[in-house]
Amino acid sequence: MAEPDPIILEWVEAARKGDQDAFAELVYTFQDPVYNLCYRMLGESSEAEDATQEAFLRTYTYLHRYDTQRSFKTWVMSIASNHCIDRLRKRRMQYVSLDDEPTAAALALSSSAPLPEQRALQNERSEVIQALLLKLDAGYRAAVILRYWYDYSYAEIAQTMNTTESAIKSRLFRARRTLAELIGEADDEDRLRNRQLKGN
Amino acid sequence: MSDRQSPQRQNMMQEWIDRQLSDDRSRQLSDMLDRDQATAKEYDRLHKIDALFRRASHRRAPARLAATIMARLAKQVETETQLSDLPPETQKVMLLSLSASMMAMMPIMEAASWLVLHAHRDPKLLGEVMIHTIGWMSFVTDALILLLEDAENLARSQPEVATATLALTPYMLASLLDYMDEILTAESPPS
Repeated sequence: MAEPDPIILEWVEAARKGDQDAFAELVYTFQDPVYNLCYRMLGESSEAEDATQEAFLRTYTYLHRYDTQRSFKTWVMSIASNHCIDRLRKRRMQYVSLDDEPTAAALALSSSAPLPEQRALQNERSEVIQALLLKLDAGYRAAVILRYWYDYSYAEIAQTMNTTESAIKSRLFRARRTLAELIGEADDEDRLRNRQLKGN
Repeated sequence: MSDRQSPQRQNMMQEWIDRQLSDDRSRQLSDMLDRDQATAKEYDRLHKIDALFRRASHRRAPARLAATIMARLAKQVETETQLSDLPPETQKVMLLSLSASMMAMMPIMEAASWLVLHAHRDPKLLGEVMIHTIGWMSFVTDALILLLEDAENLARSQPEVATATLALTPYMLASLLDYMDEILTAESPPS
């Protein structure tokens, strides 16, 4: 696990004493990874922005709880990922009551949409990846994001998500299997459509 | 996809994908893939996903984001400072009133739990009860938040009025409960 950076610790200490400029340095340093995490988790820019703001406000509020032996980035990412998971849970409750869910993922993976692999080849990989991600449950999604976008080890993901390494391994495996199934289904639909086109 | 695959195989495939498998175990996995078509097929699919996600790009934060965060933080700190400037007696009364308000919320929470528990046998009824309960709870919570925000603002200009407002909150909630009780009694068929 990465050693805490002395400059970061200096900013943290100053921010704990109420130095907002020091906290601003922390925000500038970590805003990109936190925003990317929120965007990948929530799938929407304006909500990701709002979640990033909330995550940093919480970081400031709980700064006295930060253990300086841990990586600051991992700690901030943990706050952001928990916040996004909470948001997704609330969102799900709202959808349950409305009996409807947003269909960004469905759009990309529906039979009328181009297939993931084709889209990847057409340089639209990012959208496909996002659509696939949105098909995963919040906990699985967070594990996949931390693994691929931040290259976190199993131990780091476990620390960020307050769980065990074995739980993370199993979550990652299930997430990858689900993603593979989604890609597989899309492949099957593509083959069927091509066959129908040739038949006509 | 096969659920019969042992956890050991799954672990090996995953560790191979994450470049964490030892040489010995890599050879073991390679032999396994040669022998077992189902495992080899699943491995190919996982590998395809891995290749796709490894090329994923990062989203950069919008330019104004850090400034917005710092502006919100400055406002939050200012509010907290103003609140901590209140006389200690006023702060104590506000905390006491807040606790009383939370206690007054308990019967509402209990009523909601009771409704959910008694509706669980009928999925349709449970759905309706859940929607109404959640809606009602969020209404009460929003009302409390608004009330507390107003009390905070009042506390700065007229601490006595704010304290009195908060002190009245439990009574307001109790009246709300009485009102609900009246409605339920009126709606229930005579026995």
